[in-house]
Amino acid sequence: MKKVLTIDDSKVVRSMVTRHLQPYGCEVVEATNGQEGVEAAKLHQPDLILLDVTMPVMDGKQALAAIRADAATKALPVIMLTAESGRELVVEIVKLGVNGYIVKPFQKESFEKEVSKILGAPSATPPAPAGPPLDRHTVLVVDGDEAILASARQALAGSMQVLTATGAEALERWTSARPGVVLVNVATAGDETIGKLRGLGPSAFVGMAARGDMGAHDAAKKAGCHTVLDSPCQPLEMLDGILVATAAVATVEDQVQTLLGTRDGCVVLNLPDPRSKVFGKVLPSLTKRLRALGAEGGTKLVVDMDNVTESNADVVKSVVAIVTEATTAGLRTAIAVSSASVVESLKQIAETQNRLFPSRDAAREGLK
Amino acid sequence: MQGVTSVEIVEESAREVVTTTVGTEVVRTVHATVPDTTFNGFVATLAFVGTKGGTLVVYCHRPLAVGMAADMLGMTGEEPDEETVRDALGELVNQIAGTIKRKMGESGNGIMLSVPVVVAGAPLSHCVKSSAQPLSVELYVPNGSMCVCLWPN
Repeated sequence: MKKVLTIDDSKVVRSMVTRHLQPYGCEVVEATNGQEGVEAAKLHQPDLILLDVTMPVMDGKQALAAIRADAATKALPVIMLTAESGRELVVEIVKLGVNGYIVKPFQKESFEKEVSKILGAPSATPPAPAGPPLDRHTVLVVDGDEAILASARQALAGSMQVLTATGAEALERWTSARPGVVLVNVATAGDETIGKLRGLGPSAFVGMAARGDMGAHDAAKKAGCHTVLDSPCQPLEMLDGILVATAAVATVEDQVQTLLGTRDGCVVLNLPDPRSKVFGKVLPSLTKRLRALGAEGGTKLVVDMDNVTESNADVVKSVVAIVTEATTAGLRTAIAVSSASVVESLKQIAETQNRLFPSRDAAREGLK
Repeated sequence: MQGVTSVEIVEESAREVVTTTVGTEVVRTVHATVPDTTFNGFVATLAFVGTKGGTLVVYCHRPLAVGMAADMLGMTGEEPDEETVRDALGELVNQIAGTIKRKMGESGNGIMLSVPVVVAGAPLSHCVKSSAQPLSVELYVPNGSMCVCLWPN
């Protein structure tokens, strides 16, 4: 994890800097004047120092000179944060070896432009702060309109646990429930609240914006929503949006886990449609997981190909890889496949031809 | 700073800082008179020193000062303590002064900013020794108003 040292006598500015650094997922160390900052730079060896100019005890220019004069800190990147931007100050700090400067008051965009030169672009999803894992079965719906909240509750209640908030209390709700999904109306919640929520952890964010209001749609994307729905939307559209956003934040390991289940002592692998983006992405992790299942004492695997209706070279190659890996891991394997074209192509392959069954139940029976 | 800055520069600078740093809308501004020397609230002061001098003062009543500090910290549902409010007001006056200097262009060269001083009291006697007319602006935001005054030396 990268480390950033912020040196500023103002607690408010240190707090603002910390919030602006959240998308970078870095550790932030604070110092309240130049002297403390020079010592902290030596101790922590940060990847970036953000240094205020006007401070008591030792000002930013003196601190920068001290940092550059010390062999232990002279190579550390420093960006000055200054309320002044006069030519003589800029010339002075450039001579001292500053890597950039940000003029206060600053917008998020100008801050990120300078900081990204040193730290690289901020990650799309901020990492979760320390705490229990997110509850993927809970959705927090944030909307200023009680009627929309009631409709969302009704639409989602059968699928997920639903929490609602009309505004700022969303932050408290998120902290207490750690929902895996946040469904938010950009117009009534405001992009600031969305930004704060995004900073709390890597929930999947679904924005809702008025149909046809492209400005609101753009604002939702800019605020970090993984997908944006037209509002008002149907329950199915809401669920679809949740799936899309969840897939955007899920790790490959999460996705592999969702493909695996157990039934009657068999591990069941629900092979995804080969046309889906998930298919190619998960295979390397999937074969790794199969090895682990064998090591954990698993003995039987059913590869359920009910979602695969057409055969092609990728499908065959993938199934052969899965069967080979499972066999090596000590798992007896059966393939449930109903599509005639898929059956025909797998019959041609030595690794699969004797493992084909017309249904999942038949495959499980075949392994008894 | 007499003759090299204007009430418009003070107004634009204050507006820029309040909208960007506090993140609140400035509803309107009025070229105002300076508040009474006896003021009930927070008074944030910063000196311009060097080739040209002056004193910048921000007067802000307590409820607005507390609200702006909370906004700057991203706090919801709790109130910042007195020290934090003073810190926030100090940062605001510092940023307004820096912006005024920047907007003065070449005329601002050779001017340095002091560390801000923020005091609060009820009532507070306040006096700036300057023979010049102050450049004074009242900024109205949704939750109140604040007065920003620059006394050129």
